[in-house]
Amino acid sequence: MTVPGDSGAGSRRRRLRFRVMAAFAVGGLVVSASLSALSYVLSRTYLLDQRQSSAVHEAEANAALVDAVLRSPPVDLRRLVSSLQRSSGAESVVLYGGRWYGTSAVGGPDALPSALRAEVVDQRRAARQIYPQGSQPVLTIGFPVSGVDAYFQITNLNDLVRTLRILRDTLAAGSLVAFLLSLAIGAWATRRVLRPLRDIGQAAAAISSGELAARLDPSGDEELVELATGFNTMVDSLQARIERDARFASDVSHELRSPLTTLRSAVEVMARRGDSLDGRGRRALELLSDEVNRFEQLVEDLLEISRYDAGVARLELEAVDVAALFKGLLAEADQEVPVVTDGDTTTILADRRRLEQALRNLIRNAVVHAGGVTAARVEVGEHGTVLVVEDRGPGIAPADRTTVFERFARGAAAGRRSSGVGVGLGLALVAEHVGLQGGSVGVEEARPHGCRFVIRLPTRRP
Amino acid sequence: MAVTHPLVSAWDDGRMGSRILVIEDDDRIRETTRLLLEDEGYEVDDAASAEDGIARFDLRPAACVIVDLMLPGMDGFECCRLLRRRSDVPIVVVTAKTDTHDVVAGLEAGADDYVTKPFHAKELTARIRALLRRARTGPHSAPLIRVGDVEVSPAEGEVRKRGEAVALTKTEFRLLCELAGHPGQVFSRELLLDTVWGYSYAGDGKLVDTHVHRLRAKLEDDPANPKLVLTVRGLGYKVSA
Repeated sequence: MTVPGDSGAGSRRRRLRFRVMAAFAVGGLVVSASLSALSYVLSRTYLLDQRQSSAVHEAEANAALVDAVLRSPPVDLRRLVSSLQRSSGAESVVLYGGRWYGTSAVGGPDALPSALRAEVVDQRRAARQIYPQGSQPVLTIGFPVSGVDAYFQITNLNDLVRTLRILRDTLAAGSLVAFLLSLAIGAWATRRVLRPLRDIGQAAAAISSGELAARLDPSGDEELVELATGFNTMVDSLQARIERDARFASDVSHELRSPLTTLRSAVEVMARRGDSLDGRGRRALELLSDEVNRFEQLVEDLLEISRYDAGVARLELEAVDVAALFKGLLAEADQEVPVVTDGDTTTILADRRRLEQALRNLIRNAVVHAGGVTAARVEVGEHGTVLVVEDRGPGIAPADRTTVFERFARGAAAGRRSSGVGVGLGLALVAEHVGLQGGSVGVEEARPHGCRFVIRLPTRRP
Repeated sequence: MAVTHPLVSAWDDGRMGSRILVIEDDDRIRETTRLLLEDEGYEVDDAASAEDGIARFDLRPAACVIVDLMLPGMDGFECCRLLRRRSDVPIVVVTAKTDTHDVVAGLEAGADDYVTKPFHAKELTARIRALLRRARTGPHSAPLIRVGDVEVSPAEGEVRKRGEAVALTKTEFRLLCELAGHPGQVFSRELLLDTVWGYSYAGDGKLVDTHVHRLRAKLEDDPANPKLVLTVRGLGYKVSA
């Protein structure tokens, strides 16, 4: 089952998140940048126009004054020039009788662009031009005055340029802020929008890990109520089905226990009177007794394994001396094999009941199918605990070494089922019991023949 | 019937005459259990319901009661509680479930031990025998033990807390004597099963756990925060030295 939140879904989600964030950021940037650009262009045009028209008005007035003065000599040009009305930074230049007179800062006629000069002086037309003078932009307006002369007024536009630059920088900064803001909003919005997805992912992960009670909160956003409700309904029916299936196996096993109890007790009462039966009767009783045992084992195993299927198997760790446990179980099965131990202490934290059942099943497997246990070993190391049950039976073909742990495994054991107590769920339970404790079980070939079942458990110290 | 076949051993340790009350609603199980126990030399009284069983017990007290937890009408848990209210008779509960929850609930209701269906004759009789032996062994001849404000008097089989007598079952009493007799010593669950229950069967720590729980409920000021019987995590229990 795919668990949402694994690497694939995770990177997809990150990509989606990144995309939405990027879309927000780019959108924010485009909108704010175009608004900024538009307002810059409009402001620039407006400011420039205003500046030009005021400069033109001023220059026009000055030109009229210069014209009047020049037409009624004597002319004190220096006084005239210095008396002209000039807004800050403006300079005046008068061409009078072929000579140039100007305010001190003006570089003379050469500083004026020749095209402008030609238009005003030669063609006798008012003209204006914006051009850079040195490092600063200037607006020069020229008027023809008194027949052959000319008046030029040069306005420094530096302050205007500086204002525009400040405006530009402010707008750029505004765009940047807008960009970052939309990036943040994008991040927030994605998180907000993806939260239900994340919730679904977490719920699904919880459910697949066995928490069937996990549900989504259906009281969230209106748009998501339908999704949450649908999801919850799906999980409800899934849970009902899982529980029904698991309960069925468990119920069947429970129901079988009552007749089994009667059977078992009745067989035991009869067994006490075995002596009064003839040979055939005794044999029939033996068969009955064996079958009751097998039946009981199957019911127990079915009940046990249904707990795993229902997801209600809970680990119960306690301090267990595994070597002692192993010895006890071998003795119980009349197997006279020493338990070879390795490690200072053979006590670890384990689920005693499950470990005991796993070992008992392996021992029974060896007894029933391979003539008994020939070697038993316990190794408790820092990195893991190993329990080995070895037999000198016919062994298990390499192809069957994994399927042997499946439920009702046929394979190698199939031909041997007639020999008495079948394995049924025994080895499958070993795998479940060991797996629940974070361990594993495997089977290898033993020399010269037979097989070696190996349980590996993590070494948890009490 | 019990004497018609050779069961000499049953006579040896004085089991003869011990009456066992079996409360079980399944007719067939009740009958085979009766056969089994009579084979072991016990006298058997039986009842198909808790109500009937308690009436019979009041009429003729038994040495040990076997109660099925799943009974129609009054259930086995309530039956245990009622029996416990009138007697410290050893009780073995029979459950069809190995689920810890049921077993623990049965033990909390006052049972001393339990078996799960389908039980083996040996299993059931071993438990009964151990319980009867415990019941008969009676108090030790050890001197008075004092732990905190609790006084255990093995000779009289009495426990007093601040001078007031506390009613303990035999199993609880044996458990307390064992633990209090060696203050500070840590007892593993296996060791307690062996010394208190009289036989060791692996994996039944919950038998010990529930009895410790019951002891705490009866003796501790705050059972959730025990001062007398302490849990030693991963190892077992001890009584504070």
